[in-house]
Amino acid sequence: MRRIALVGSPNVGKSVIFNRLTGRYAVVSNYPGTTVEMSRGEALFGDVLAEVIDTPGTYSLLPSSEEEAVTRRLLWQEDVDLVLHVVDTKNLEHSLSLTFALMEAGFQLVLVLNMFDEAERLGLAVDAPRLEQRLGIPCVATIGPSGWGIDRLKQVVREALSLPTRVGNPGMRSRLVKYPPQIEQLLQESGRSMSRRYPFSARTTALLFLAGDGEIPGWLHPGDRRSLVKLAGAVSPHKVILALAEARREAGQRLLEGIMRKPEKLGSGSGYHWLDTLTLNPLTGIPILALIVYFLLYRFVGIFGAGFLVDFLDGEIFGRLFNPFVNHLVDRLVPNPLLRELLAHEFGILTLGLRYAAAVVFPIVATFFASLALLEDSGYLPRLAYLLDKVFGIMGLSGKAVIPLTLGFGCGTMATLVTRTLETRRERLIATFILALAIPCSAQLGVIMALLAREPLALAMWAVTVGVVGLGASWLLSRLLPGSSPPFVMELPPLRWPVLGNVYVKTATRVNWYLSEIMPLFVWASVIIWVGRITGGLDWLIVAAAPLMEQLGLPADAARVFLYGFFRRDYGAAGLYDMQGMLTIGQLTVAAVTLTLFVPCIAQLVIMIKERGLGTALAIFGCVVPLAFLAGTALSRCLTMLGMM
Amino acid sequence: MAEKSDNTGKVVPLAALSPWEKGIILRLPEDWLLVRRLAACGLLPGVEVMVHRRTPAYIVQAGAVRIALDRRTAAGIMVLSGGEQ
Repeated sequence: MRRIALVGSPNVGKSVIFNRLTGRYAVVSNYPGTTVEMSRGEALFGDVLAEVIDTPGTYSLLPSSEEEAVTRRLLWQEDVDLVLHVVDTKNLEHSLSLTFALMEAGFQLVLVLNMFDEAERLGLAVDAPRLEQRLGIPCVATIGPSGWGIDRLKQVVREALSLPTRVGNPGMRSRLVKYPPQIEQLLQESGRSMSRRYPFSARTTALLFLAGDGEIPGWLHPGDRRSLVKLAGAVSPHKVILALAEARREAGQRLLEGIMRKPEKLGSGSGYHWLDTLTLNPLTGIPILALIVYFLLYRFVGIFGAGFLVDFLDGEIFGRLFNPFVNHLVDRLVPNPLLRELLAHEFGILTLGLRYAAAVVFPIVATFFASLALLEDSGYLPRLAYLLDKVFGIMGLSGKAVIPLTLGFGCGTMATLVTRTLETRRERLIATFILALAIPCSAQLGVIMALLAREPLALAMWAVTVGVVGLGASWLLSRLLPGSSPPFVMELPPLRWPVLGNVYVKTATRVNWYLSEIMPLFVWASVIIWVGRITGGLDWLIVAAAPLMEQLGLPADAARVFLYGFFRRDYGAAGLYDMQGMLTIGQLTVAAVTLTLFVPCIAQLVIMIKERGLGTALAIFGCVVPLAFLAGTALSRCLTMLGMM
Repeated sequence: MAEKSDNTGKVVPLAALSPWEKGIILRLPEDWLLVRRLAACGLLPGVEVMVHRRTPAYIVQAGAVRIALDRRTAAGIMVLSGGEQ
């Protein structure tokens, strides 16, 4: 099958074009070994069926982010027949540098001038036929949301696919961009010395090498690598990066002369919508941010998704209908009591594993992915990062981390999943840690409020202890982890109305993908609990944990609450509530603090393993559990001294 | 507002420009990984930029594009300041 890649900077409407081309039959997946998301779908162009790939946002073939590295790897490793370079027309001049890079690399290319209407409104419309003439590749104007221009794009793609693959003539095309003589000479020499053919033209391959690319050397034949290493000694990567960026910028300006007005009105700021300006000024932006977090994340995902929908599906559908029915059926059909326990009843695969995935995770995931798609498509996310960058910097996080951390108060499992929206591995690790340690989920919050609300002093002690331990530990972790927060450089797109159809397709494909990945994990969790119960392992753990409870100044029976609470959050919560009468207010405070700091539930641990890998997840678990008990013990000692236990 | 015109025609870090002040980029930071990122956003020597905001981080406009930068990055970019809009 022919393969088409959609390439372009973030926020140029690639995914809308993608959905317009493929319909709704897309599959979202993680690029192997990364958390970068990529959609693949199929589309018919005339009578040619082709695979269409929506690649992560990319400015250049020389990657400076994980997304760009993924796109570049895809272009290098998969046989791409045609590249559609999607640009935001009003930023055309700036985007041309990637167009040049893709042409130079030898790809058969179509330039998609998207958001043509926005450019027209700003007086920045471009003369597409003349652009086509000057560039020597097809240029198609489109308006993603309305679908204007898509038919013509499909036709152009069909014509392009009917040509033999890779007709790109890098020799001729490269004349559009000329680099300084020293670099041109190096490129010619390297072209002569390279013995193999690569997916990118020799010129591009050598340029990337000279620009200090980290990955390209590993993809080359050792002989070629040696000769390029020799040539690379003559010039610093810094110089090459600047020279090639400048040459492409100048070539872009030359190319557009007379066919596109320059965006010379260097913003008096008035070119933007008033709401756009309000979201960036902290005085108005922070209240707007708070409203969005409150309504979209707290009310919609937290109260509606994690509250109402979960209660309905879990309590009504599964609790009253599905589980009793399955239990009854299994009791009748399965003679072996051990097998019965594996399939049904309190911890069975069907009654716990399936229920957790369908009734707890599904509604939360669906409401969250819908909110995320809305935020993404409106162009709001970069503003969020901008406003909060400084504050979150204290914890070694960037502003984007506000999303997973807020979600944590709804459901830590979901929030841990969402840490994948953070840019660096380091940041994802810190956020996962904070979520595991200090952020109580809605189930825990509910019980803690119920237990401690009558004693404002106890509630305050709980909040202060958890807050201090959480902030302190994450601050320390950000100091201990190697690396530093990356410099913050981010393009700010204008605000746009999201296209609801696109939000729906995005949400549906992501939910679908997520459930198919998580289902097996819940089945395994049920199996593990089953083994623990039939072997007596769980009871043994409860006995073993008794001394820990003593340290905390709690009755030995409290261990049951902690352990079962880990497997079933409702059980843990209710368990503590049942013990209420036996405990002093000091003991309740200690129990609440320890339970909050303790890893909330098995689902969250499973997601931690899936997202961060087994080693990292166990390391976090291994830090959080002792920290929880240490903090609990310390508080218990303090309270004893104050005579409150 | 008077202190702004003092900058005109001087080589200063981008971080020293006030809101609505323009400058032409002369030099990027030494860190070439950062240079890649800046170049990808269109922040290159010879490009005219205008500062929109300085807090909580910098927002600069280059052509039709707005880019957010932290102070550390803005302090590493040298510009020839070119007065107010």
